[in-house]
Amino acid sequence: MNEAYNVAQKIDVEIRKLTDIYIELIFKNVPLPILNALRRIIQLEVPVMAIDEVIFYENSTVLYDEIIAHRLGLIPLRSEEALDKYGPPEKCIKCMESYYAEASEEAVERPSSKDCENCFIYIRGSVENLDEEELKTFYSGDLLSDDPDVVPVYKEIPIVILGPHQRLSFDAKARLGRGIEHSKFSPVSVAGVRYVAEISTNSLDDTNLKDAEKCLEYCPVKILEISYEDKKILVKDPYECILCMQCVKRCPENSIKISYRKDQYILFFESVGQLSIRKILLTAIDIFINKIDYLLQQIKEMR
Amino acid sequence: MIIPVRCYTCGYPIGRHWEEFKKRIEKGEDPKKVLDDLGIKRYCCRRILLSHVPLIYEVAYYKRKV
Repeated sequence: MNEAYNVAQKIDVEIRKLTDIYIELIFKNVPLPILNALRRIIQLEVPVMAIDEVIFYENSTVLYDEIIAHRLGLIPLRSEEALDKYGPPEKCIKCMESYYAEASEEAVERPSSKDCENCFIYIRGSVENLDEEELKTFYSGDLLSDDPDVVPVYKEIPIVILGPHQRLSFDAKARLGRGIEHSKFSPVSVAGVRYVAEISTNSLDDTNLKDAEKCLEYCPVKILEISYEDKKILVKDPYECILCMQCVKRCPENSIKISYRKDQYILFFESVGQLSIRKILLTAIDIFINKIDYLLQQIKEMR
Repeated sequence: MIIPVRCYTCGYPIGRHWEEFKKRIEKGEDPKKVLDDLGIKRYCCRRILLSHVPLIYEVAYYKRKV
């Protein structure tokens, strides 16, 4: 068995950076494919709320109905509580009219209105610009939601700008969905796994000490330093290294060597705002465990 | 035409920064400083604000009367 894939080794997770919307985690002794699966689940399988269907009653603005509907769909809606309140995306997609436009009518059975009870909520909007000359902006904060838990996360996104005497009114249906279906349902903007650098430095002699000093300026993340006492290049934080190899190319031969570690990886992602970082990670791990259980069960049945 | 709700490339909700960005640029501030203050790090998001032409402020007046 490959050394790096030995599960018996102790798995360790460490938080490297954490803000309200961004996290970087160092995973030790976790195989890369497992981490990548987790990353893909975070991006594509964690459900969030978004507007999916819009009914326009009046629109005399300069933007077409379709453009406004698209813009409404992209607005992040708070989904922290909604995950437990509303039905799963697989069931609820059948409660949408647009689903039947693509699928042939006979092939799918329409759910009854009782089945769709906990599937979507209405978000309404109506504005009129009464002014004779001034323009009026309609913001995401002006949307009225039937559920106080599902409201736009950011109040200051302009949806449309109305000229004098223009009017807009619509009802929109919001539901849970997954990133696989449309990226407006993705809870993260960036999600990635990257390698951790293993940097080894050799001692320098007096002749190439000056060259080494110059070459360190090429490091884009500025993690290299020179120690004149030891006549060596020092590494401040190997986790910052982006493995660009500029220092290897520019520095005196054999003074610095860079490779990547096979037992450590960094998982990072940035939330769009619908869910907290914690909720995204926990939901993703839940989905991951369910998938593995399903796989095990299927294998058992095959025997 | 109108500021996109999200960054085309990464999906960051960029539209919410538009009003503040516009106000500060019109005052004559350096766009680089404003973008840094707003916390927009990636160049995919920065170009959306930097290169945006807000035509809707002119077009909104020219609508056929209904």
